Amino acid sequence: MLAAVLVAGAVSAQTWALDKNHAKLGFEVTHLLISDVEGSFNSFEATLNSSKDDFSDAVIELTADVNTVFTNNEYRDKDLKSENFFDATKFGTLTFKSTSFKKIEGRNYKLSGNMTIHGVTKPVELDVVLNGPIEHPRNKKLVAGFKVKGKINRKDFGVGEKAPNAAISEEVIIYANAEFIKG
Amino acid sequence: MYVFLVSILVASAAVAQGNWSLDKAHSKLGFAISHMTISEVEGGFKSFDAKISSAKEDFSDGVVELTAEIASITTDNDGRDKHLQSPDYFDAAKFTTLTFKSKSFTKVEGKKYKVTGDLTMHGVTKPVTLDVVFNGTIEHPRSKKTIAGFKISGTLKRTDFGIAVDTPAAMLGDEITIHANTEFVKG
Repeated sequence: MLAAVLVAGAVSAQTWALDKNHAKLGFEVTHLLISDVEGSFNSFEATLNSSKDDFSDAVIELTADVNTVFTNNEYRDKDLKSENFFDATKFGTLTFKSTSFKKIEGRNYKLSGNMTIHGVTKPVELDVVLNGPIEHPRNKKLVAGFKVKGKINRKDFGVGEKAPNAAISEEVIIYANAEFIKG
Repeated sequence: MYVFLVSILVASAAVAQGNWSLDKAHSKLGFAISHMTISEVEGGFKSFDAKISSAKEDFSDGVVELTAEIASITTDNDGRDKHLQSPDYFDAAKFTTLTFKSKSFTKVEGKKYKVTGDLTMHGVTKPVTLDVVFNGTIEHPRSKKTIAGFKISGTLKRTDFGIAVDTPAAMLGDEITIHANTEFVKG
């Protein structure tokens, strides 16, 4: 009987899985101070665990494959994977693990956590707009939409030390759109 | 003398008329659409070209022309990209390109501008107004050419262009957000 209760308690901590067909992990840097170049990681995984409906105890973990970096330019993507930037042979993944998820107001939240890029781990704070959850019209599962935005300084992570800010901005905007499916 | 005069006229016309070509390596034509009202799916056209003709430094008389290949649409999902090219959406076999030709480029304030023009996609032409952030021109440190950066955003309704008119907005938003980051090189 006690075991059954304990098991039930474990069930209440719900896992939400990433819907990869409706998720993007993107970034943007400024080129020569006047234009923005966008990119993304084509392969990434993320999970969300929360026992509460409002996600106030949510723990989000994300892993992206650095080798899937994509800026719609093969030459540049290769350069980004080289020692000049991500050094993907040595540091194959980028990871994020949240430490808190706090409501600001309405649908706006702050997501804090540790980001590891290029072998360097730093705390980061990201803005989140949480939409839903709603019931998927076809599979009847609950779906939540997260829109995440934030800024990091690439040099804090030792990425592109030799590239001056005037050529490629030190500030990198991170943005992600992700749908998570419950259960 | 006549030949000399003609060559001066040709030379001055050529100098005054600035032609700017797209730096494709530093340009993106993207869009976003809401999925089931709760999340956004992004996409882009991998292959597109654009040019600006302007006699004035501030681009106030600038004319922008853009053409994108519908077959180059990408949303990072092969099945969906194929579906988008089918008659259910863009019908790329029939309507192979999307085009935009500007009619006016007016300053709002500071770096903010409005561009109006005709957008043609799926065989339908409609006037659209887009917001532009013009980040100015600088000399490229290596090529020494003058380059200009423009960030464009705006919204339009897919059903105005007859795209997937039967797909409800609760599944796939009617409103499409357009965003483009472009760098143009003079001469």
